[in-house]
Amino acid sequence: MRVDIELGINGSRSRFAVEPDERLVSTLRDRAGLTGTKQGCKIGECGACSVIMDGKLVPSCLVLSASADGADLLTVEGVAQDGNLSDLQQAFVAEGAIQCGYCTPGMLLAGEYLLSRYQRPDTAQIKEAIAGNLCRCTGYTKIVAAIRKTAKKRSLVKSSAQGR
Amino acid sequence: MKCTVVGKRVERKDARAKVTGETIYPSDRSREGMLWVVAVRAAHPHARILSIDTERAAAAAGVVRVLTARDVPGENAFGIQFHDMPVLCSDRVRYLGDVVALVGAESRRAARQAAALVAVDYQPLALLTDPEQALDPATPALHPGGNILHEVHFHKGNISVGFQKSAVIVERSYQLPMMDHAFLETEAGLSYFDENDVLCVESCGQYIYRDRKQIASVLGLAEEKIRVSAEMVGGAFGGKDDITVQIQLALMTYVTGRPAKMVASREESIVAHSKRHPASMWFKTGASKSGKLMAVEARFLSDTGAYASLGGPVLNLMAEHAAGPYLVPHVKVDGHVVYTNNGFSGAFRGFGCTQACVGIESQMDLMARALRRDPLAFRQANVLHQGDAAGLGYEMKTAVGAEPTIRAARAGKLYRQRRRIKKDRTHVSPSLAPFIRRGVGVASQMQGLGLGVGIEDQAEVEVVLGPGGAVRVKVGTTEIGQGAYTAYAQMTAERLGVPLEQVEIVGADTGTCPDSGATTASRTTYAVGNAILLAIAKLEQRRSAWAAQGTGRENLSARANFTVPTQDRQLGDGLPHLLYSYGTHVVLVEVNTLTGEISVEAVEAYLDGGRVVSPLGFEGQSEGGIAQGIGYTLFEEVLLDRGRFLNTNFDTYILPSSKDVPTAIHTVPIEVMEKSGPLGAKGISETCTVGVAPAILNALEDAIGIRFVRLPVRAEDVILAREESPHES
Amino acid sequence: MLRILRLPALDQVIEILSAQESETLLMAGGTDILPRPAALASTRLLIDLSQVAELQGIALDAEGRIRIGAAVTHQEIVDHPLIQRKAQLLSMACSSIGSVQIRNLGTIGGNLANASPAADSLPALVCLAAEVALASPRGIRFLPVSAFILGPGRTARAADELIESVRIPVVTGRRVAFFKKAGQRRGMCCAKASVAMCAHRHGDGRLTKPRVAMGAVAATVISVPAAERVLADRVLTMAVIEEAAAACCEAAQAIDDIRSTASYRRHVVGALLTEGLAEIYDHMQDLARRQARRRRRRS
Ligand SMILES: Cc1cc2nc3c(=O)[nH]c(=O)nc-3n(C[C@H](O)[C@H](O)[C@H](O)COP(=O)(O)OP(=O)(O)OC[C@H]3O[C@@H](n4cnc5c(N)ncnc54)[C@H](O)[C@@H]3O)c2cc1C
Ligand code: FES
Ligand code: FES
Repeated sequence: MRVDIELGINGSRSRFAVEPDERLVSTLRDRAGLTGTKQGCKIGECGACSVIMDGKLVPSCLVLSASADGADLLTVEGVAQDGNLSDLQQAFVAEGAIQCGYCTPGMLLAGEYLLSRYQRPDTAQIKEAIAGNLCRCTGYTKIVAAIRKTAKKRSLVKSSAQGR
Repeated sequence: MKCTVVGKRVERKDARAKVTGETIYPSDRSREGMLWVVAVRAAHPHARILSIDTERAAAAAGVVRVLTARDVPGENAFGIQFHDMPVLCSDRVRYLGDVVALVGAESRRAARQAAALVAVDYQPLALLTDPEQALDPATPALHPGGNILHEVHFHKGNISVGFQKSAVIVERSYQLPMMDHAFLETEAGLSYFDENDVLCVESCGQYIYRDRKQIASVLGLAEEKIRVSAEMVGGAFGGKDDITVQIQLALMTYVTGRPAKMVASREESIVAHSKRHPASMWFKTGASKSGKLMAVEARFLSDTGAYASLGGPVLNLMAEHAAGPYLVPHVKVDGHVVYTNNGFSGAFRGFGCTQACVGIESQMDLMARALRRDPLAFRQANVLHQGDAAGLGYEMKTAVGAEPTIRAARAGKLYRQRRRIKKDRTHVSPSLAPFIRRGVGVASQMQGLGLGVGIEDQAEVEVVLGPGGAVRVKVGTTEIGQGAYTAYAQMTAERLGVPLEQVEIVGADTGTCPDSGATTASRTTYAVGNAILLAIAKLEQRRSAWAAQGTGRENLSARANFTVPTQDRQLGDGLPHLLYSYGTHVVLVEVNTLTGEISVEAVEAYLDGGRVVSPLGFEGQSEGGIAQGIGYTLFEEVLLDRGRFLNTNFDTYILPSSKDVPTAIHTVPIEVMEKSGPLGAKGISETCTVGVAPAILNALEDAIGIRFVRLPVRAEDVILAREESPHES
Repeated sequence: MLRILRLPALDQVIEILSAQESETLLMAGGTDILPRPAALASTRLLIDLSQVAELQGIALDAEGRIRIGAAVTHQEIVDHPLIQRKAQLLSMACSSIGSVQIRNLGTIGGNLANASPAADSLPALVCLAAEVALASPRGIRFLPVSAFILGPGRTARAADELIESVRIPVVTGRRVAFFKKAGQRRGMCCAKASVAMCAHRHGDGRLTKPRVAMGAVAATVISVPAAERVLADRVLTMAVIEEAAAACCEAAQAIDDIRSTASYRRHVVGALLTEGLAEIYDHMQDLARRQARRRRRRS
């Protein structure tokens, strides 16, 4: 017996008929065809499946799609605007924060979420913000740097806007 | 030579697609009408199969086909070196990852549910889990040739003379754990017949041409009827060198005619794929009063588990690197690698060097300490130079970068200022300061590059010049995250004098790309890079010939093949190497003696991989290698109890998180140009991780005066050792 | 066949629970339920509590206690000013739970109901003398956390009850607190052992009404009266700290498992207490010094 749900994904709403115990990560990947959201453990430990749901970063492997009915989601596919990379995406590219890239979608969303909560996070806060996102390739150093640079840039933009 | 593209901090070719989620990985692939495939794996780590009943599973809703050994049309076995792994077991299972049946169903759920309905009647057999016991000829054999897969016995000079001449002799045993690659994307792929009836397997292997060969022999098909690709892979580190899902997928599609998809769960992945060989090692080393290394004697017992995989070559490399990057007159190395029912082990970044380096670099520190010498000065005084005889006696014929890395490490901030840095307690509450200890440790290493003597090591590539200056380079190696494609593009752009954006790398598809060999052994930058330069040279020759004739052509392509040079004399499979990369690590650790917690606070890595093609990639490899080294030393161990895996997901198999890897990582390229390398390059993707573990162990002794000889070192071990230690302060 | 009900109101949940249907499972954040392999295999009805209005919110109740709705997430607790001001210990404990992703889903009610010996909010709740409010057709009853938790995965919750909220009495005066956790790594981890402590601090260096509780060293969270006795009404010194730490080690009834050993757990609770108290000691010294300086300046 399927459950009918509606999800707002990256700004557009769609309906899905899901299994009652289906996880959001599967709905996104297998039904919505949005394979940018990855899956590395299915138990909430790796963060590869992270999405922003109603403004909060969550592991989509631990969300039942049926429970997400009506929610607004931001997945990695929705981060770039009209084909333009966001500043954080650009920083990931420029800093070399990407190797195999399998952790990248989750990392990016964890970074976006952090920056939505803190203007100028320090290194400890950045590390805490991505502590639920495992990366086996990069050693995290360049990911932390990319987030730090973006935060700095954004707060400069903001303060100069305020100055005007 | 001055370069304009090579050596520049360019962005990765694949970064933009990865950052938007557009990149398609093996687990993302799908196709209309595909079946989901689930493997039914062994329920016992060692058992005879009495019967397999698939009737209920086959009748379950949504199930299209259940395959067993009877459905294998060709050779029911595969393996990199020996075909000793059954595709589908019919009479016996030797580890929990062995596959007895494959279920193909309309949905993943249906396939999973049906897999549980396959009824296998097992008669459990005596378990062999102790590698020592495997050495005993009386122990029942897991394979026809007995339980010893391979052994090595080498000596140079006269070991007893070496010890006679030694003023300081140090003897220790070391225990190294089984380690999982923990690539973030589990084994996955898709297979289907294309419109020309070619069986296509889009998967995650590290060597597409070898995969194709193995699939062909299992299916009894001609290789031309099979196409294997592995365009983009979510991490591998050696763990996808052995075939994982490729044959299973191909078989399902072959039998049913339908597309098929597989994605391993993490639990399945940790059980099924290869691991870093667990090993016990014994070292006895001696040095003269004046600080000259006199003797290195080592004995290894490595556990390859249920199947050979690359257990032999890994042991060979352990032996090759047993004496480290040092000039030692008297060397004796003996080693065995045995079969057991402990999972199975194979290739893993570092490939035997990782294990050997823990031993020799711990010994080096112990000897320096006994001789009251500066640990880096002691290494520097004994280091190998070009023309010297290596540990196993052959000549080091190519440029040796070991000494420059040690020299640079000595001059580095962490080492020079270590006394001050070790005393720093400004970050802790004053009353806790007495409980905090800091230590600085070092390790030097070398790592053979390429597959070594006796194993075919070629790379063929094709360079195509298209209209408007577009360049396409077709290579058969896989982009597993290491950034090799970007390095290839840089070298191509450099040599052709075109902008990097005009170069496109077309990768890892037997249908379109030549055989560039395996994506292993730190070889791809060197081997593929050289092949690219050869192909470009051909193109330019042709171009100038045409120019002389006054004709021009837009579309022009050339193939070239490069063979990795080797030593003349073979000492074993893949033994020895002609080329090595080198490195020295300096590590700062902090130990909280109250809780026993260890943290790595800073790392400096001085790495010689010849010319650095892509600095961002170089640093990234180093930082990731350091994180893996920290995992190996402090957290990671696949735990087995009587052949059963105890920790099969990331809640219990602990990887370093962002908070466990220092931000203070400083990677310094020591570019000793390699004459035979493309623009002087070699590779560093392994050497960057090898020295990390012993450097941490050495730093721990510096911090708390305790020598750890078993990895991983946990807070529990620190507390226990301090309780037992007589000089506990 | 599994059915999922996402209910908006507490009445509706209570009504269904009182129908006593077997194989009904309550779920809030799902972070304990969903990672388990056979998670929902035998469940027929899953009640999703995350939208129940009455289970939300952090505010003072009629009796002036802090009321935290059962479906409040750990991150909401960490971020809430009232908790930061009046129950800082809980904020510290909740901030150590999982990762931010887990804290955004996992709830205080789930942490309590799941009754893991290693649950990180529990030692803090015990120190803060928190009570669990259980709702059923019979109304609401209150139980101290230590009476609610009976064993690993076992609680005093009746089949027709659900956790409505947690109530924490507000204490005035200058307080000190810490939550310390030993894990397998620094980033997100399950506790090998944890220690929570809170007390009143006095200008003369004394601590009064100390409360100490430990996680993951017994079948349930345990408080450590012996350590509390050592600390009560004494001027904090390193010698006192050592004595209290020994009492913690003594009180631990730890076991070996895949994460750690009994002997380490026994050892480390003392170490964690020492760390936490030493930091408080330094903090108090610092305050005293500053106060002396101020006094000198004034005179
Ligand atoms: C990756 C990961 C890391 C974690 N790390 C930590 C950690 O560091 N520390 C820690 O303590 N925990 C940790 N947890 C466990 C878990 O997140 C917490 O226990 C969390 O508080 C559970 O809350 P929940 O709402 O998600 O519970 P659920 O999974 O929804 O429910 C858990 C149990 O409580 C019951 N329940 C839920 N709400 C109620 C209610 N209102 N009334 C009655 N019963 C109810 C459910 O029926 C179920 O039995 C971790 C979990 C994961 C997946
Ligand atoms: S797949 Fe969801 S956290 Fe790993
Ligand atoms: S880049 Fe590979 S896991 Fe992070």
